Amino acid sequence: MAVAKSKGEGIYQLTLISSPPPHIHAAISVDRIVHMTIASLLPGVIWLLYLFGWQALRVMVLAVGAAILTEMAVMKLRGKENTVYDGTAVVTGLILAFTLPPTAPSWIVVLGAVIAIALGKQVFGGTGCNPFNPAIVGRVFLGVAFPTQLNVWIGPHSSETIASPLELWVAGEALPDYGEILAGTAGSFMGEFAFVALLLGGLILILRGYVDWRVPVGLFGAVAVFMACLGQDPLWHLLTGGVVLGAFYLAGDPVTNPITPWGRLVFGIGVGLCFGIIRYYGQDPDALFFAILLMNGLVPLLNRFLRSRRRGAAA
Amino acid sequence: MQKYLDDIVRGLFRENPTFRMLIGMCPPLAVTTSAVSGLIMGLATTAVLICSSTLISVLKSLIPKQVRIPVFIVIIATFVTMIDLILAALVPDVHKVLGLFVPLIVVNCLILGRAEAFASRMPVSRSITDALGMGLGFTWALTFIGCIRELLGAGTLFGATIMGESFVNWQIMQLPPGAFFTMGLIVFTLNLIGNHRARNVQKAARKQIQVVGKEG
Repeated sequence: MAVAKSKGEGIYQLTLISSPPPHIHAAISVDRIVHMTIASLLPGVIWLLYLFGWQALRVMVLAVGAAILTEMAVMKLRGKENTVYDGTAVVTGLILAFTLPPTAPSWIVVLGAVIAIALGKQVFGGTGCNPFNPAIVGRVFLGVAFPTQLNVWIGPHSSETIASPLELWVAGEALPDYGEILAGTAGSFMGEFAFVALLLGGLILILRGYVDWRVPVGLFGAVAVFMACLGQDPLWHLLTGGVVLGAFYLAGDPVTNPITPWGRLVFGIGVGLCFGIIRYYGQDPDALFFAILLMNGLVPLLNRFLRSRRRGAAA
Repeated sequence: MQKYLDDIVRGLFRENPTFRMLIGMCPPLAVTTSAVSGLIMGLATTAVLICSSTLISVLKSLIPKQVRIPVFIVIIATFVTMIDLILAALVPDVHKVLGLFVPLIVVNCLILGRAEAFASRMPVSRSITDALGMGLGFTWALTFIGCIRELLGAGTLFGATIMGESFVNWQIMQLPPGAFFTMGLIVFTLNLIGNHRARNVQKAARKQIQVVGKEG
């Protein structure tokens, strides 16, 4: 059992690592995971800056800045050691920016980041204690509060509004082909434009072992099978809707994942199915975020029922 | 006299049913989309609470202990039906908005809770002041939540436009999640203040002990 000492009002607080035994000590720390995650997001950041220029930069800087300031302010209020340097706030802010369109009004971006950090993370006890992915909490709040302000999509290198792939699909119009989606000419929120870059970043995280491969594999598989069963083109639905952002960075967030391998696979499949159902039948542009939020809520249940069997115990 | 005043003030703040005791949580979450509906709902509940507490306190020696809960419910239901009809006659618009939630006052555990915990054991006069304090505490809580949700969700307060033209309505505040967010944040703030006060009291007490210790 790992015991870490922290300055908590004169009493040593126990910090328990939540994974099934056996444990092995490795040179992985929160800092390193966070730095790697930020690094893996950089291709996406550069790609989006190339596509949307200042607009994208504005959203990212505001989201990250507001996230850092909120983290510092809340830590101060709670009288806890300032942990803003571990960089988790930067990741949350950056990922929140990826879930917003480049046209998002500045004050909405800031509000989203404040809610993500304050209500999505700090009220539950800060880094590593949040049951829901903070960026998604912020994004869902914004999505429900300001649908008309957020659901305005623009094409790359221009300020002309375009219809998102989902809207084209609902309207039954000509759909953008794979090439257009990969080249970043079709999409809705920023993460949907950056398929290749996010896939690259996600693969790095999986190879380094920071994201369990079972979550994205379960998610992609469930979406593909679900859409194929309904007579849809599975590959097209994997390329759109920001599934890749959700699979690696939102659903793949190790803090909000089940602790057992089987649990993670079921979690990924659950997200994929919920996403498919909400997107296909509800035609909701925020389907991805609702699906992950829903499955985040089920994580304690998955932990309870999909425990790894104890070696040597009677079956 | 002090006792009666205490009964009222206790319900308003220290033992506020909504923010401190967290009982009768359905109306604060369900009917507080505007300040007016929160206020009317609170007043309706207060009226039922005062009437039923009074009657239960009067009848307390006649009610057999084994069947007291059904008897309480029958008494409460009688007053709820009266209030329901009065609201429908006086303020039909608000009554339509509150809808099912007026009849549901019957099962508001605040009313049954006060009947069981207070009115059935205390003299009539104190039952009335207790019901008044609890009812008013409930009313201001509902009105306060309603104010915040109406202000952010529709930019108005008691129907009057407050926010400027450029204000964008936070639609989430008019939806159920908005009620939970508002409620949670208010309870959070009140607990923060409460904890801070408790700590100060503790500090003062400790100082006194030290002073006494030195003198002794």
